[in-house]
Amino acid sequence: MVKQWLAFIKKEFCHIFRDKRTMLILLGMPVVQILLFGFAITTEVQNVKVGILSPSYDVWTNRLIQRVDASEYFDVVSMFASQDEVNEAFRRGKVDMVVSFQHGFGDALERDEGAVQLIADATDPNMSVMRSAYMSGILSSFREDLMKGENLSSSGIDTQVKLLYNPQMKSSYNFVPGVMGLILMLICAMMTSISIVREKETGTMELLLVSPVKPVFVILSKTVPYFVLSLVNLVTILCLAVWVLHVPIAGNLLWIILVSLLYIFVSLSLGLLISSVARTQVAAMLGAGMILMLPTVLLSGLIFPIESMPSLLQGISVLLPARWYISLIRKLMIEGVPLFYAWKELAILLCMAVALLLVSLKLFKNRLE
Amino acid sequence: MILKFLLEKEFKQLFRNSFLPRLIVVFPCMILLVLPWAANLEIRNIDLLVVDKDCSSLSKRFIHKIEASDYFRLKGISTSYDEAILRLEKGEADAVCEISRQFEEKWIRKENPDILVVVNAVNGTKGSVALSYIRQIIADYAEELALENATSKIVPKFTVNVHNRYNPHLDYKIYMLPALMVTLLTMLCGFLPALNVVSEKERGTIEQINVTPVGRWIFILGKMIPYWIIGFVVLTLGIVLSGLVYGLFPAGSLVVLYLLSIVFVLAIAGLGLIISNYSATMQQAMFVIFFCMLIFILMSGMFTPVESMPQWAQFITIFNPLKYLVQVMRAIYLKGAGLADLSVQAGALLAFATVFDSLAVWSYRKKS
Amino acid sequence: MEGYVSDSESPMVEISGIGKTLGKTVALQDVSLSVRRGELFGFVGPDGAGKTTLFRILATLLMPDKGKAVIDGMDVVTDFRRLRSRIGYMPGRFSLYSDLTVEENLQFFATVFHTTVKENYERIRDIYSQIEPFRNRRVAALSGGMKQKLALSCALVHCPDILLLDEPTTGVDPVSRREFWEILHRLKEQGITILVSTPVMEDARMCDRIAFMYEGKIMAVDSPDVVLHRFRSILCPDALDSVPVISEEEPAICVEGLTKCFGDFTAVDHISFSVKRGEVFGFLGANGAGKTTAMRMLCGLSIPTSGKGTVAGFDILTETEKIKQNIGYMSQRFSLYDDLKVWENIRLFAGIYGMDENTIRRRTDEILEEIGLTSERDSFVGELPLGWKQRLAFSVAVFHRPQIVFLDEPTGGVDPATRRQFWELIYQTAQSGITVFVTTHYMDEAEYCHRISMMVDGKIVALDTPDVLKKTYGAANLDDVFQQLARKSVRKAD
Repeated sequence: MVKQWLAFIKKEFCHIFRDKRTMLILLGMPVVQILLFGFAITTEVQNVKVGILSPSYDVWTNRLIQRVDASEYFDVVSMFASQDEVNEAFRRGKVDMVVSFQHGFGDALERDEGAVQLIADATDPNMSVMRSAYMSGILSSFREDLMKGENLSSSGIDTQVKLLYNPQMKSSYNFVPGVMGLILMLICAMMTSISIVREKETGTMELLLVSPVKPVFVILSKTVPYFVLSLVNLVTILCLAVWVLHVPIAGNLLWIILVSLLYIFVSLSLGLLISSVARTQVAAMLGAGMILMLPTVLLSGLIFPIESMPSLLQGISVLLPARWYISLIRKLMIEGVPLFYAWKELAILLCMAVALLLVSLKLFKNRLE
Repeated sequence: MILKFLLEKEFKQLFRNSFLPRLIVVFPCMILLVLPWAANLEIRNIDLLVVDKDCSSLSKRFIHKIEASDYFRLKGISTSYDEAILRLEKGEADAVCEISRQFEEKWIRKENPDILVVVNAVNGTKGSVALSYIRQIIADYAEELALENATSKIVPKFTVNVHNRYNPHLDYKIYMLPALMVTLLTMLCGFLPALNVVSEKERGTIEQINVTPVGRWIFILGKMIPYWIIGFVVLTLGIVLSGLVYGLFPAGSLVVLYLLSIVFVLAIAGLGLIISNYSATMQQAMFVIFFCMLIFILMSGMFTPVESMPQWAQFITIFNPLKYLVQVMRAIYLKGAGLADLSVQAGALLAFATVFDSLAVWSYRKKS
Repeated sequence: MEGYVSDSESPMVEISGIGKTLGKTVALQDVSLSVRRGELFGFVGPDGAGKTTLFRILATLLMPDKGKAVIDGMDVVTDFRRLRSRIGYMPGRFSLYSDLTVEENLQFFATVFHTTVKENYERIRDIYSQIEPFRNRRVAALSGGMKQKLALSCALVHCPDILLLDEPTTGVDPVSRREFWEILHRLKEQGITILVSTPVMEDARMCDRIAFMYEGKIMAVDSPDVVLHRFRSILCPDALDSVPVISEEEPAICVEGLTKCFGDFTAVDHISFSVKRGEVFGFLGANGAGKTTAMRMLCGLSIPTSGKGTVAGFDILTETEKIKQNIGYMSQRFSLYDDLKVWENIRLFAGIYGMDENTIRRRTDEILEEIGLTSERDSFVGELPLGWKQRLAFSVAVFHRPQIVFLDEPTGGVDPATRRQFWELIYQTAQSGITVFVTTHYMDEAEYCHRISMMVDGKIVALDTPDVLKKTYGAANLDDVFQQLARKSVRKAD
């Protein structure tokens, strides 16, 4: 029995290794995704293009403008003289925010009646909120300096901030677990189902069915290489996360790997399920793509927080294994809380694994029909 | 003339397919009806725990201020910091706000009292937006207290007010809708052509076409025009849906919107055909296009701003046609931009269309 | 063991009253027969007669709706597990892994059947030794004949008692076909029972007994001579005859020193010949001799490495698009659009060749009448039987009245009657002045050609009328000529 098993596995690896393009994509996809999500996909406030609208320039406005320009977040890119110019610049996307001074700002400031208006391009609401908050911060520190200059006590409330788990507010902390969920699902479910359906299409499945090897055994052997491949990807992702993105593994590595194995198991069962329903490779691909990938990307909390979704969509997301896995990994890997705090997710994944395996084995046929 | 027959064939095949016509109608509806709700980075309902160590009238007032805010859901007031942090770890709260002992006393003594804010920053965006909101509340509260205490001259030297243009209610759906239309055009007009030529290869029908005198340009045009029309249909569907369901109408000219979208469709369909020409099997084509689309969509500025990316990534986005159309869509829909304002994007899209389509024709080989 | 009878008198295969419906079509209807131990038993019948379904039921892949089938005392439904290790099965298409090498395929199937190549090497040596030199080559790069031998090796590697071979010789050249039957006879001597289906009558004659199947029913079971005689109108139609209308103007095709290399492999090696206008020219050769490559160069699908020539008066190097305007082409694989209707396919290709609407409409009716598909005008091409598809593909290829039509193995996989009908069409076309350039593996078809050329290892080794060739090589029929010439081949692969 072991010999047959090895023969199957060897054959599957030959299939994978000989299709260079697909293999390159399978191994390259996690790397590219991790790098993109880690570096390129960030919502950090940076390089904000600021315009200044001021009817007159005096010592105070100039000091304020310098202050803004000196900040690491903002670049003052243009000076406007009229509201029309501002409108055009916004339309063309030349500025993200305009600081507008009233007429005679300097004089008004001395009379304590100074006013500054921040006009923000709020098409992107989150960025706009963050940019306005950063800008307000710069302006109020300017205000405090003024007060110190006049030797006034600047009475206020001191705010201390503590950012848990992700002190530098890096987006990668949030995305790494998501990418793990996505890639493992892609490789296990999609590739397994395609490779099984391909044997149906080319007719080799007929021969395997006629052989004395138990059909269930045939199918299970097909999952092994993809299991190995997903382990390779898992390790790649973890290594990249730790050494390239500097995302620390806060929790117990052993648990992270065990949980990932459970998730891989769930995904493989899903792949088997699809392969017993689909007749052609294209159908398997579209099925896996539409039913698994799209909801996984959108509804599992990979990019978009589940809490902000309407309850109907939250209900759908409950059915996605990726949702629970991503949540588990965030807790175990990034937050480093003990497994005990994540018992709910773990229990749900376990139930899913058992249910899916039972269903897919039940659906599997010993014959062609 | 020959083109007429080729188009007739493409359309008949399209409509006879049991799956594609449905996909063309159902997919946009699904995306536009579901995605704005799902693809929502709007940050409201932040779960907040307050640790009130002072239990004074001033700290009570602060708590009321938080309760009154739209952004926070007060999950409870506790007296133990450790307990609050435990609940944060369990995921019951997103942030903890600790009001220090002697808050009121310090204030009366004209010292600065302090507040500790602890935020779960695993999701960086959510963390920083939550922090911005809390800071704002604290600042407002400080000013309110200062005004009451008007004996000393601590009134602010100047006021700052924020004016949110183009999306005054900070509605995330309005931000996403134009970008989702770009996704739609990309998925339908990029994926389908990529599978088209390669499926003719797999079925062997391409060989029969190759022995005919039909020209390369004509053949590619015959493949391209159907997607051009599909793009038109999908876009119209998108505009009507977002108008009817979300009440969002373009502030700028529809003509410019259609014009630039069509140029974009030519570019992306061209890319699909190039991939198709170079693939031997549908599976290969599917993987390659999936890979390309993933990079294109993530790097288009659709979800995260291009300006926040590091320099090298910003450089890569120059070669991403999606980026330009996302900018165009948002500018026309929300800001009412005209063709003159979008000349850069229009130029870029035209260049992409020309290059991709020429490559598509060039890479289609009738001979070996 | 219960129900296991192995005395040599009991039949090996006993089928009684089997019925099977696939979707809406009745594939098998009350099929009963028995096959003796050690018999070489053939199934003949047209495309869609139910042969494949019957094989799949015997191979335990399908469940019969009605009836019972027992192989060597084991029921195909209830005892399928035990039965599976005793059967060698070769499905209609060669079910091999094209991205694995020859040796890897064989070893894999050996292991799956709980054995090793070494253990049973003697059993398969006969066949396997012929492909062993290429054991490190991937299956995708093998010719049809070699794939067939490999598939048979794979089916034999576990020493089965019974072999089920479903159309094993389709698309295989006469030399390989003959070798294949020699192998089957040797296997038979070793006591293996063999069930084989085939559309080729020369093959059927090699069997001990054959069953003629028609529309899911068994019409007769008897010795080949008896069955073939009884159903000769379908199975052995009379030969055709025609006198070529040859015009002595410039030749339709004229090539000199045409060569095509793929890397350091020369697929076509300096061939020179000319085809007269109005001729039916047969282009013969074993699998992998370079026929298809040569044909693709003539059609402008492939650029020659060297050599020159004209097709329809145009240069094959510089004027390929003009050549395409003046030729028709029908490929080995059926390549019309399955999801278009019959008339729509005709309209599409006529339109591509620049014919105007009125002419298309008029000629469509005419041509459908000619090929007898008027009633199928609005059917989807995908739903037609193979023989009809081939006729349609042919009429599409000649619809725009080209000067020359190229046919690449146009009649693979159909029965003799259908093939004959097809050749009647070819003759009609030739009479109307169109030159026909055809490749085939059927030697009865080669007899129908006015002149034939034989290609071996990328070179043309003989070119003349069938009669002259038979005389020159002192052979009774073209099959012998083919065997004599093709066996000289040193290049066994590709």
